[in-house]
This record gives sequence, structure tokens and C-alpha cells, in this order.
Amino acid sequence: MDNAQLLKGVLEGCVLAVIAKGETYGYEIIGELEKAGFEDIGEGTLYPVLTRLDKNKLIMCRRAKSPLGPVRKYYSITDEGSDALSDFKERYRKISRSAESLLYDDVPADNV
Amino acid sequence: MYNSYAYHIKNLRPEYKNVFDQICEYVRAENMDETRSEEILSEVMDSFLTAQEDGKSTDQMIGGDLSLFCRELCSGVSLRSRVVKIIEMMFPVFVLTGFSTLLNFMYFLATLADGEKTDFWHFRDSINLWGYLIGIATVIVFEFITGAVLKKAMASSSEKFRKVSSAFKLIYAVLIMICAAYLVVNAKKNNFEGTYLWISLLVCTVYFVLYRSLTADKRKYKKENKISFDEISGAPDKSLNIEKIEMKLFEKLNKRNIRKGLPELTFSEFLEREEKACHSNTNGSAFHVLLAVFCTFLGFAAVILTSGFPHLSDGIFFVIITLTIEGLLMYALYKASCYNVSCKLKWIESKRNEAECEIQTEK
Repeated sequence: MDNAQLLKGVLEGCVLAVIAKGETYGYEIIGELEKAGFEDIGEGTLYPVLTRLDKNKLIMCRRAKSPLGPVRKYYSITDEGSDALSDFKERYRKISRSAESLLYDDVPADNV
Repeated sequence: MYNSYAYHIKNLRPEYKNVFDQICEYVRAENMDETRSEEILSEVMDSFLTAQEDGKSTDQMIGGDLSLFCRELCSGVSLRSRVVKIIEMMFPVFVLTGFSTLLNFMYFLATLADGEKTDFWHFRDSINLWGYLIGIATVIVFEFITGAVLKKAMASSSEKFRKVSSAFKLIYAVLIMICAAYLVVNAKKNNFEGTYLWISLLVCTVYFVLYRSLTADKRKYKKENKISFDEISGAPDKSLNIEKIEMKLFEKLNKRNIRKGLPELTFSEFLEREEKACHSNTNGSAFHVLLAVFCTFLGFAAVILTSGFPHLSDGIFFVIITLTIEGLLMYALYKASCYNVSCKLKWIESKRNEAECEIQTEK
């Protein structure tokens, strides 16, 4: 099964969760995701996700000069984004419970 | 000047630079608008510079597959972005066309001023607008075909991508030479008929209105990320330069005062003197305007006294063009002097703050 497909739905929520911790930028988000175990996430994967979140007004960005010179985009979560994150957490919990109960027979859905 | 990614390429190490160049080529081949491509490449540049500092390899940054990285990076380019790109590509041609149309309009007014019988609706421009538009359309189609082929090449291998990219650059160079040769050969014949002036004016106006409304993001981006020329070129801090000049002046003034037997200036008195000079300088806009008018008048008088103008319209033309050129020059001079004054005022402010801090710590 394609890993990218599996990641697609989850990544937006996870990126939103990283941004919810405080204002951050692309490279730092990748670092946070790597720390959490998402090893194959690069700028190429992250950029479209951030653009999508920005377009849907779940995050907002401000541009400023980075310490190394180029323009850097700093992202922070909006109220809509916070609501979407809570909603995502709830839905993800339900889906993961159901999936785990199916995938690992010994784990009953209610006990996960 | 704005903070473009291009100014920081020199800070990349060779391995990063090589990968970044290929990403730039791919982004260019995607034919997206300038703001979007600038944003993407600035983000990548910032990440590459940070990763370089952290000692990461390029493979760690792009995940080993450059083609996939580029495709993901550029995914979701909207139709609007591509339309804006087309409009942006037309800009240099329309600037030239607009300028020529404006000159022709002035020529039309001059013809009227000379009392010649002429009709606005039948007055012809000296350029063939439709020929220009067909030329632009051909270039745009070629650009999009190039983009599609380059993207395909990138999907197979970066080596192939490089070869195809070089081949297209060669084709471009040959095409430009053919076009230039065609223009040189046909310029002598002078047998084409220009477009009606009103059509040229209308098309140019529509284009510039469209350009202004569709590129508002671009202007906002450039305004937000304004950067001084000194910062880009890596020149030493302007304030250090001012400090050097001002301290020299301070010494010179005091030496002169000693020579004349006058009391020496204290540093705060010197700052006050300099501040006054700055404020008198900021009122110099009237001086620049008057200088432009005076120079034009001088030129006009010189021509009248020597050969004179054959027609009234020639005189009007002379005044308009000279006033425009001198006005622009004076405006640039005025802006430069304003910038210097603002830097000097900042320096004076910083020196006063320093002195205040010293007094407070002594207390």
C-alpha cells in the first residue's frame, strides 16, 4: 500500500497540531514531524499542505526576513483552525479505534 | 528592490546550489505567476540555508527523489496563476508598445497644433500591434510547450532534464537571432501599415488595467519584503559610513574654530547643527522642481537663439520631452538625498540615545 496515500489525510491534521503549539515556519515544522516519527516528510510534501491550510483559512502567515537572509513565512493557527483541529482529533480517534479493532483482532474497539 | 531568493544563491554550498538550480528550472517550467514561484523558491532557499548550517545533506532535504520533490512542491498551481504568468510575460512588450503609442499620440497632438487636418479615428500608429500580439502569442505557446517537455524530462532523470534545458536555451537563442535578422531586413522596406492609434491606445489601456488588477499580490509581496541595495550587495553598514563622515566633519569644524579663535563645538551642539541642516534639506523638493524647469527653459532658449523650431509642435515636443527626462532625473536625485537625510537623522537619534544612556549609567 502506498505510504503517501496513507499519510495524506493525517498529515494536514498533524501539521495543524504542530502550528497550534505556537508560531512556526516550514523547516521547524519538518523538524517537529521528524521528531514525532514522520521521517519522509520534506519541503515538497509540506508546502502544498501549508498552502491548502492557508487557503482554507485554518492558518495565517506573515512574512519576515529569516536570520539567514531569505523571506520566511511564519505560520500561526486561526480560530477556525483550532476548531478544525479539535474536530480532526475527535474524528481521528474514532477512525483509529475502528481500524485497530479490525487490524488487531485482540484489541476490542471499546478498549482502545 | 525586494528580498528575492536570487540574492542568496551565492550563500549555498555547491551541492545545494546544484540541486537548487534544478528546482529553479522546474519551477520556471511550471509557468506559474512570479509571486507564487518567488514564495516557493524563497521557502526552499531558507530551508536549504538552515539545513546547510545544521550539516544535513541534500538527500535528507529532498528525500532522494528530486523529481518527486519538485512535483509535490509545485502541485496545485491554479489556472489564475497561469493566466497571471501570461500577463506578466507580455509586460516588457507592452511597455515598449505603450511607450511607442504614447509618442504617436503626442505626434497626433503635434499635428493638430500645427493646424494640419487630421482625424483621430483614422490616424495610424507607427507600429503594427497585431504583429506584436501574434509574436507574443507564439512566444507564450513556445514557453508552455517548453515547460511541458522539461517537466517530462525531469520525471525521467535529472541528467536528461539538464540536456533538454540546454537544448531549449539554444533554440531560444537561435529564434531570437532569426527574429532580429527579420526585423533588420524588413526595417529598410518600411512597407507595413501601422494599426489605428485608437486601437493601440485601447489595447494598451486594457492590458495595463488588467496587469494592475492581477498583479496586486506581486506589488504587496515586493513592498512587504523591501530591502536596501546596500543589504543585497553586502556593502558595509550605511550608518558606519555616516559615522565616519560626520566625525571627520566634527573634527574639521573644531579645527577651523580653533584657528579663528572661536569656542569649540560640543558634540551635542554639533548634532543640533547637523539636525538643522537635515531639516533644511528635506524642504528641497521645490529646489529640484525649479531646477528641472530652469534647465528646460535654458535648453529652450538656447535652441530659439541658435536655430529655432521649424514648427510650433517641435517646440512643444522639446519642452515635454526635456521636462519629462529632467523631471525624472531630479526626482531620482531628490529621492537619493531624502534617503541620505533619513540615514543621517537616524544616526543623530542613535548618538543622542547613546549619550542619554551614558548619563543615566553615570547617575
